[in-house]
Amino acid sequence: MSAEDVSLAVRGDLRAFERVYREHVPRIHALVRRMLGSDEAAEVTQDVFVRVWEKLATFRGESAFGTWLYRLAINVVLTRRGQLGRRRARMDDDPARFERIEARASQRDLSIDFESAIEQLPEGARQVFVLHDIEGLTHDEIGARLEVTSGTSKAQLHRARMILRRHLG
Amino acid sequence: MSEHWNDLISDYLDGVLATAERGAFEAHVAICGACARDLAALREVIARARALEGRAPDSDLWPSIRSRIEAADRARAARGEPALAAQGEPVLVARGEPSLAARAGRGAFRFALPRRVQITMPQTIAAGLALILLSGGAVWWAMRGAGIIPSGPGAAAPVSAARPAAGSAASLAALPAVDAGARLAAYEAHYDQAIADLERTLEQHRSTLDTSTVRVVEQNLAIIDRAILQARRALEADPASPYLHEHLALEMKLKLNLLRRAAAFSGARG
Repeated sequence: MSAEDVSLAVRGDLRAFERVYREHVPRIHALVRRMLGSDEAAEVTQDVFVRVWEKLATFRGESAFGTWLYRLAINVVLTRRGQLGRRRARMDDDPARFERIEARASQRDLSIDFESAIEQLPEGARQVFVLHDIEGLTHDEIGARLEVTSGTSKAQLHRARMILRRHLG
Repeated sequence: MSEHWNDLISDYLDGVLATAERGAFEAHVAICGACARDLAALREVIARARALEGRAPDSDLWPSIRSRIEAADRARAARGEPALAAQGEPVLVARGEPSLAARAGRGAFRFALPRRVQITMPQTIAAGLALILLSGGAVWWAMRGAGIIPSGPGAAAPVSAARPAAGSAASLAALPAVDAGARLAAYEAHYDQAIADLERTLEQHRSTLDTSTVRVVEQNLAIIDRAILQARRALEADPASPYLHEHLALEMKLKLNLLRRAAAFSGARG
C-alpha cells in the first residue's frame, strides 16, 4: 500500500522506500528523460531518489505524496539543468534540430515516436512543453522555476507545439 | 495562417484569451481552413502529451540508489551523526483519506511532523527515554483523573511518577547503552498496560467517532504495531543495540501518543 509505504519510509524503512521507488520510478524517469535527454536520465533519476530519501522527513502529508515527489524531482532536474547549461546552450536554437524531427513513419509505437520527437525539441521549448503540457505546471510556475517571464514560457510552449505539429504530419 | 492568428492559437487552446479575442479567433477559424487544421493539429499534440505514460529505465536503478543511501549513512555514522532514519513522526495518511495533518486544520486531530534535526545517538536515546517517561506520566495522570487508575494512598503510581527520571536528559544520555536498555525493559510492562487501558477506553468510545476517523486511526496503529514488532524481533537478535532500544522506545511513544489523542478526542465527543 503506497500510503503505508510512505509512512514507513519516512521513519527510515529502506524496504518501504524501495517500494515507493518502484511505484514512482516510471514517471520520474520519464520526466527526467524528457527534460534532460536519455544520456542523463539514469544518473539524474538516481539523484532524485537519493534526494527524496534525504528530504522525506520534510514531507508533512499535507499534499499528495506524488505531487510532493514530482515537485522535488523537478527541482533536482532544474539544478542539474543549470550544471549542464553551458554544454547544452550551444545546441539550443540550432535550426538543424528542428529538421531532424521527422514526420511519423507509421502508426506503430506512436508514443515512443512522439517521445523521440519531444527529445529532439530545442532545450527551452522542450522544458516548457514538458512542464506545461505533460506535468501541468502553469506559465507563472514555469517562469519562476526557469527564471524566465511567463511571456517567454508561453512563446516557448507555442514554439514546441508548432514543431511537434510537424511530427504529426 | 497569418502571424496574428498563429500567435493566438496556443493561448486559445489554453483558455487564456479574453472574451473578445476568443470570439474573434473562433470567427476566423470558422472561415479559414488552414487555421482550422492548425488548431486541430495542436489539439492532437496536447492530447498526445497528456496521454504519455511513464517509462521505467532500461536497467534497475535501485541497487545503485540503495548503495548511495547506505554510503551516505555510513559517512554520517563516521562523523558521529545519526542515520536519516526513525527521526520523524509517521506521516499519518490513509489511501483516499485526507491526512490527519490536514484534518487538524478542520479541528480534528492535531499531528505535526517535526523536521529532522541532527543530534547524536546518546542524545537521541535520552530524548526517546525522556519522552516515554513524560508520555507515561501524562497518560497515568489523565487516566487517574478519569478514574481509570485508582487514586489514593494505596494506589500504584507509574514508575515515571514515583521516580521521575533519575536526573535530567543529560544524565540519561550519560548512561551506558546497556543501562538504557535495562531501563527501557523495566518500563515496558507498565506501558503495555497503559496501552491496553487506552485501547479499551478507545473501544468504549468508538461509536462517537466517524468511520473514516476510526479507519485512519486503525491503519496508523497497524503501521506502528508492525514497527514495534520488527523492533522487538531485531532486539532479540541484537539485544545490546542502543539504536534498536531507542527505536523501540520511539515506536512505543508514537503508539501511546496516537492512542492518547484518539482516546481524548473520542472522550471529548462522547
